Amino acid sequence: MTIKRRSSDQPDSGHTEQNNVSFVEFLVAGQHYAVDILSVREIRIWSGATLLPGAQPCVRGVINLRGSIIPVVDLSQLFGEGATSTTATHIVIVVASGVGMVGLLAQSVNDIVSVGAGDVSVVPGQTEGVSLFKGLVSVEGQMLAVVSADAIAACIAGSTQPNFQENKHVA
Amino acid sequence: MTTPHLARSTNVEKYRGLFLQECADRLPTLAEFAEAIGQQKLNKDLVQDAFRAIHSIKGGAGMFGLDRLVPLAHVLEAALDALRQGSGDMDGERRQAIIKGLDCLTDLIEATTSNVNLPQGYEVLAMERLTGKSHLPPPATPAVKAASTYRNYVIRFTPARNTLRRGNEPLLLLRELRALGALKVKADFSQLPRLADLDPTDCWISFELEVLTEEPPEKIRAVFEFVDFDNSLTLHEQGQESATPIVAAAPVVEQRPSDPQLNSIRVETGRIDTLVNLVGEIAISQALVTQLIDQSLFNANPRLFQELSQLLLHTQQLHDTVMSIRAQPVRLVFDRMNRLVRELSEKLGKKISLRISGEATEIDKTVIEKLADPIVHMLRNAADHGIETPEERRIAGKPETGIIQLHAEQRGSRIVIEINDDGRGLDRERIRRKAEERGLTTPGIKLEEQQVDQLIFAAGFSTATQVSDISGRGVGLDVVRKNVQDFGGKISVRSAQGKGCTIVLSLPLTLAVLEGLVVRCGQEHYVIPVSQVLECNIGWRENARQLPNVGTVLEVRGQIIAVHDLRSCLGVGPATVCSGDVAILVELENRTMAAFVADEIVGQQQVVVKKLNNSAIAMDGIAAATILGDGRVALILDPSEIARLALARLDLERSAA
Repeated sequence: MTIKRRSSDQPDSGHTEQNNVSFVEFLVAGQHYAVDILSVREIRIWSGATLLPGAQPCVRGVINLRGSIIPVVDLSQLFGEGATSTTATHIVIVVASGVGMVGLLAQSVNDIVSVGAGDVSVVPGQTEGVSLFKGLVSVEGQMLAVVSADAIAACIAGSTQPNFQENKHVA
Repeated sequence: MTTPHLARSTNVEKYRGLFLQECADRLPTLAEFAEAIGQQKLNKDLVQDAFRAIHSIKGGAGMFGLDRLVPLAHVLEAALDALRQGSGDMDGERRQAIIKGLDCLTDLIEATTSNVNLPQGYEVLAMERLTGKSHLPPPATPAVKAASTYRNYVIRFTPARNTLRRGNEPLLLLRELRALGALKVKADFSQLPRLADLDPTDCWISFELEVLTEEPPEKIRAVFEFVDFDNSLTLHEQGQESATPIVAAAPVVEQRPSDPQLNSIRVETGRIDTLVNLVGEIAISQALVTQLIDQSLFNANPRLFQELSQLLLHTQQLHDTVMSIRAQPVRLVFDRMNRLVRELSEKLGKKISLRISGEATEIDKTVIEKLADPIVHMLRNAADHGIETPEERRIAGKPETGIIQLHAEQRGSRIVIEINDDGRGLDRERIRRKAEERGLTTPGIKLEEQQVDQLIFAAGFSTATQVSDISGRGVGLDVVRKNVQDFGGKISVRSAQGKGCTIVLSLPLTLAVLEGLVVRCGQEHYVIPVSQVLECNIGWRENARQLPNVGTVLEVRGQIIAVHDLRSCLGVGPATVCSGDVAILVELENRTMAAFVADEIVGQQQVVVKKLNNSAIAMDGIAAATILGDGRVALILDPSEIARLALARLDLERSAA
């Protein structure tokens, strides 16, 4: 496994906080995932979505986000774990992507984790850009898969078809 | 002056754009004025407004080096000034000259705005008509011309030391003078201090200016109107003894009624859209809160109910106010039409007068933008096909001048625009023949007069035997009809043989709100635009039958139409037998009909249209979305697309079988 350093050319100034990246850690179908905190706009309680005819199966529907209509992606379905049977405690993480806001349907949000930029490892055997994942982060023995909002948005728009099988079980 | 004197700087381009925008804002004033002249309904206010508009345009144009605008604006200004003083004799010729001049100025401004170069000399004819003199550009040696009308002014102008610091630029004044006539400039550098002592923001230069022009002294003074009075300035006409110190002569800046422009601000429409969005959200949240509050709470605290009602009222008012920000009077579009009709009547050799009424009716900006094209088309048609030539009219016992009326009014949630001409009316026989020729109708079928009239909107219909320059530019009425329908409008025609023809455009007040039929399929609610719904057919099953390989068909008054179950079309629940008792008949884009069946018709209501901009949720058959009272999203359907998809799916099944 190679270590990808985001700021390898920067001298170590001692301000380690500057090189830290923070993630929102969340749970989908019992697995741990994370998303870059800078792309998260808000986290809402699941309150149903309107079916969107013709959309990909992983698109749970659309919801109203203060007057904008945004899609909600069932991550469990997208990751090949089957459709989520939603409860009142499920949440939607609203993230900003290149094509607009996207809601990610998840079981719960666990924590906010902060790691050094160098501690994000690439997913083995994956070329970046095709993968739904930006990398892996290990926190206290727990491995988190960092999802890419852009890749997910592109995926539900049907422009790329990543192979789910290979990264089905990342932990 | 509303436009400040600006020093040449890197910002000039930006200010130039701003100036052109300002010019564009003034064009409606000028159009209104031109119309008033044409109808001889001038009043002092109009003249005053127009004069001020031209004056600002001239001033700004000089400042930004739009040299072509200046001479024309200048002669127009002079003409209007004469009117203002009440000394302008206005025969028909003079009126036409002013109108032409204004048209020309409008063209120049529009061309400058869109960076188009009009041919050299474009404005010369208009200027000649205005002044009765030759205006071949450039006036190289104006002194050669009849010297008697020209006066030679000698101006001594010593700008105050702090002139530059106050944002005044003598160069701009010189430019403005040059626009008045031939200018000789002598700069006096004698006061200049040594370089070491020189503060570059001080102005040490004084000027001796000689202007050869036919303008009265007031004009020259007007140039210096906005210069601080601490500048020492003298002006005298050569040959005259007394020098007139301008400082003494110039009255303190003319008292003008407050400029309406100062009371308004420019706001990006995006910001208003955000505001509209938020207000919509507030209304929804509030409705939800009201639902959630328990009745017992109200009983325990009666004031809660009172305050909540207040809140409701305020939200409603807020909503109305916000929507009215985007509303604009249709005058913006209508005013342009005067010129169109004027030009049409010239080109066609017909006498046509356009009467506009209801131009103060306000509609949403989004609709205004889409209004111009259909109206232009209708007016061209009315002028070309409707109104007869003066001889024909005389023979028919009508006044030679044909009248086209353009009227707007609000009816409920729609705006209705009527274009009425008193021409020959539609030739039903010819329309019928043509429609049969083109296979648009079956020969022998009995058609109501109304039905015949509507045929002019059919695709591929055009009775003009020759494609004229005026109408029939390959774009038929069917295209107009489609465009109008695309934004929820309707178009229809009424005609009386020999008496004239009226075309009625009915448009929604805003594109942000749509009149929708809300239907339920399973758990989901959908909205069908009412503008496309023809009727709701109750008990449709009696006239329907299931055909293998074709699906369900329904007979309505002799027409066979396909029935689509919305459940299966939209993939909600199993594709079983249609469950609803009501079939919704809609008219599709290609003018055919289709019927949709939903589980239940919930009702008709106005819904706020939300575009599905995100590419991830742009789906075929879904036009947009809206948010219902309970905060849930409901999709607005595109019936034409859904019917197309349903038929395509049927084809697929058939070929698979």
